[in-house]
Amino acid sequence: MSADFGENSVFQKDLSRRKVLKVGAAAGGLLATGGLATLLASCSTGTNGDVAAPGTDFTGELTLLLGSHMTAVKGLAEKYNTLHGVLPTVQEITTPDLRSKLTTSFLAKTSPWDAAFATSTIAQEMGKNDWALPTDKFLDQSPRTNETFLENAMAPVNYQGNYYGTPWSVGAPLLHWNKRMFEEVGLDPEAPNNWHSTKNSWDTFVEYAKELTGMRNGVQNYGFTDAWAADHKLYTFGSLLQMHGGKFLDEDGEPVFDSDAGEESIIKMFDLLNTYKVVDPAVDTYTWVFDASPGYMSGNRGMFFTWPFIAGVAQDPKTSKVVGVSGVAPQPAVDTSASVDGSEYLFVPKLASNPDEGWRFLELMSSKESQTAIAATGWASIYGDVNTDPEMLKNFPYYQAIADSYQYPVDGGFSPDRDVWGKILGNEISEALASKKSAKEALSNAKKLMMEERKS
Amino acid sequence: MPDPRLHILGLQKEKRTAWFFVLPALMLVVCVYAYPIITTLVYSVTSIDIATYTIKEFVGFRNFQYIILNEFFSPTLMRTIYFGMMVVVMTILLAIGVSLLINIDFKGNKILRILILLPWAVPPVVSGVMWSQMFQYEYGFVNKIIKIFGGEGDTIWLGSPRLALHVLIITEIWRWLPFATLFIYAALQTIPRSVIEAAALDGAGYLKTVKGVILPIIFPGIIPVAIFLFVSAMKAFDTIFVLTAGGPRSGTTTLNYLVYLQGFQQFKFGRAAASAYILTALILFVIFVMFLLTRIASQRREMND
Repeated sequence: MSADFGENSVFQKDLSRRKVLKVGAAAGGLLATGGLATLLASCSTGTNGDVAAPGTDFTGELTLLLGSHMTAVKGLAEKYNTLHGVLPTVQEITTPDLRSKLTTSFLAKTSPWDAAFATSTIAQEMGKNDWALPTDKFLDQSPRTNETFLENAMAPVNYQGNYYGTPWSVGAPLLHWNKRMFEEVGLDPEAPNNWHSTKNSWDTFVEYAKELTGMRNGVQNYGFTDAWAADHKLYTFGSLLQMHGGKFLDEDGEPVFDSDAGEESIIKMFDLLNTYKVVDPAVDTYTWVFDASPGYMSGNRGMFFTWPFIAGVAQDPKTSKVVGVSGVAPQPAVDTSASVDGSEYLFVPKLASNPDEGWRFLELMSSKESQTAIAATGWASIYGDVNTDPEMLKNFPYYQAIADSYQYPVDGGFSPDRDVWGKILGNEISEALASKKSAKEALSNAKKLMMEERKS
Repeated sequence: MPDPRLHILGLQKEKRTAWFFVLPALMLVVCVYAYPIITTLVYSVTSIDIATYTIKEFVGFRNFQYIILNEFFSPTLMRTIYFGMMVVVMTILLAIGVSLLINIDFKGNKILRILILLPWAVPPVVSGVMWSQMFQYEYGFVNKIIKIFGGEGDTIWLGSPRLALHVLIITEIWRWLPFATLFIYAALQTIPRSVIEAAALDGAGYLKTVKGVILPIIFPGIIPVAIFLFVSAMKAFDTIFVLTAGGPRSGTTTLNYLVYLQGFQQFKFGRAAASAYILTALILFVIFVMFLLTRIASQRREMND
């Protein structure tokens, strides 16, 4: 595989790393003035020099594995055909099934895909197991390289100094709320806008949730909903953990979630569910966003911690009864606001038959034009300036909330075994939420089981 | 008088020919079954490098030891046995009832026989999704029915480990009921009408006839159904995957689902192989017990006769 790109490739523009970093710094400074102060930074590059580089061995075949929700990326397939005369074959998968699909294929030493979807929780695992090609050279050579990438959104794919994915969209859970419900019970419908920048606004959030909970017009309303089944609850636990100044893992990747911050986080979740009973009581059965969202969309859940794109779904009259009344902002604060990054990526599998076609698709997907098209469908672009373009903000005001949310910690404790210990920790937190264990016991046991798992 | 040695030689030749014809099929069966059985056995005593999918080291019985000493094993084993036995007992009881019902001549009997088979035609994943919607706590059919009959109707069926396990049991019963009914109904057809008529002449009512005549006759036919149901329950995966994913709090994780979790979530293939062997041992043990019970029952019956 050659290190050079084709004559017609935009990679021909080939910016040097130094130039890129300069552009990145300048762009970062520029965007900072636009309200994206600390979140945008250039990516650090990998330490491993022996990484694959995109080449020009274009075979005329391209197979993509995309999430079933990635309609915007799927839309680029036709464009790829127009540009390069290759119509990609697209396979789709739901996010909960992704890891099994990828790993079973790679274990069988095959990759039917030339570019595949990865979530922030599994990206490092793909890198560690040598299943994904490092993206470093691609990032170095791309004209959009590092320009306005969100540094935080690249952390989940950084394993031992190399990147193993290119984001197609960025985002972390935000607070969504039903303004109409707020008004019905006499609460200020705009109050949550400032909670992220107000210390201890979590307490206000709880007070609001209490007010919002109750029978109205013969319907049971709840102040809050979320998806807390299995390890999905780690988005809220992780947010709370960081709101209290805690972390999942230390610098060496060792677990440190069994801290006072961890205990406080579980206690806060427990109180919502059991003490104040302000949460939809079935949250522990909701395995992902689409289990919890119907309650919010039906208009009888006051607040919802979930992905940014739900703000777009909430505006669709076919599926939502909260059109025009759904607010969105970064999550509330304890010491600080926080969330857990859930950006999504595409990577080129090491066993791909047509890796250069895969890289070329990533190149197309990462172009400003494509990213603008993606952002126009309600999925935040990887470029800060695309998201905060006034025209874009007019249609998708929640992009500002996404940008704001990245001003706060969004660490999800990403490691190659994140999925494995995530399930252990999720299970133990469930035990605590069901009063089977204390918060301290649950966290200690999770740490013990995680260490045993790592040793075994 | 023909030479007896020629007869023996002829038999030997016949045997050789028989072996010659059977051998290809036998070899195919051995390869198809023996390969996974032996490979799984090898994996169960090794550690696998998942990046290269090669054997890293021989670990002896360490995988078995880890599983058995693990705090989750004992509850998982008990849950698996309970799940299997409930599916077997409840399915057979219901299947006997349904078989007796469709064995009676009445208008619409044929339509009923077809309707009973329908759940069998539904793919397990589809039925899993269907049941999960039926048991959804807010908009689900089950809670709505409870509300109609004056109950609270706010049970979170999949929220508690115990309830969720029983929802799975119901789903599996629904899934296997047509199969069991078909078998038991077939067994009922083998009972000569004269036997039933003789019982009636002796003054036995319907229930007495069922208890004293029909059930003892079809009992030997129920045992293979019970074994099949138990093995199927032990292998239940799709409904668990769709309905509960082994949760909440591992409350619906059976041994088979544990094999999946260890193999395809944790990628501990050695451990998954060891769990698979433990599951196989459990199935064989229960089948052995069932055979033993059948034997004891038939011996007692013979003694009574």
